[in-house]
Amino acid sequence: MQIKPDFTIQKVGSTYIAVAVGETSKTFHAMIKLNETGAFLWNLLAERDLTEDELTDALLGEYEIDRETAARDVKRIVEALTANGVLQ
Amino acid sequence: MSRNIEEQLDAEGFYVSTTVGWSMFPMLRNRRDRVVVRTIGERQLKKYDLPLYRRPDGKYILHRIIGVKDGCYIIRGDNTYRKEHVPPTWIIGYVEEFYRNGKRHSVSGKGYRFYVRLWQFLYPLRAAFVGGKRLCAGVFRKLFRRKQTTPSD
Repeated sequence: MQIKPDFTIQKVGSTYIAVAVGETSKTFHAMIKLNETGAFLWNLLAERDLTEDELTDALLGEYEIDRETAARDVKRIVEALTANGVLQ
Repeated sequence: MSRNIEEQLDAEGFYVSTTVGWSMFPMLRNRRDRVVVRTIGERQLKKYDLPLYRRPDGKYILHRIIGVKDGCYIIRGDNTYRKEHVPPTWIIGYVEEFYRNGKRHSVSGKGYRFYVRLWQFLYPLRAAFVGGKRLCAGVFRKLFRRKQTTPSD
């Protein structure tokens, strides 16, 4: 899975907001709030196609957390992005 | 995802969006730049502020206040040449900052304030130029159409 090219994130204060750009911005008016972890995963998915396992490994390399927590965070964020139609 | 802009403003206190259209060019470009809109609350808007308002037909507009008259804001886009009288009840938020080429610009920044004053100062010149261009285009179209519809000799 990967972030569709018509989406980007913008840091506003301490929050990251994902918004649509290009043609998609005509119809997609929602904004998706992301925390530091969400923004980290977003940036990885914006660069290349990754699986949930690969994202979990990346999260474990970045933060001092156990695999179960990392996998749960990845699942939660991937579900939120999927629900908003951001992933391809 | 189905929440409209007012609902998102109420819930978060701000709204981030990519701008659509050329009416605020050169400051904001179609589907490229982003604005951060804050809820209006008790804030009194003033000349040169950028309100986000919703017309009765449901369309959202983000243009600039160029004056106040009879309790209404007089509003015009930076790249438009027609004024609109907007009652305060239409206004749902105002732009606090915007992002152009990824760079943050505050509406209280020096560079921004210089742009606004210069752009408004140049309005008569810009309007005359655009008016002249439209006039020439109209004359050209008329002549061209007449030439095409004239029967051949």
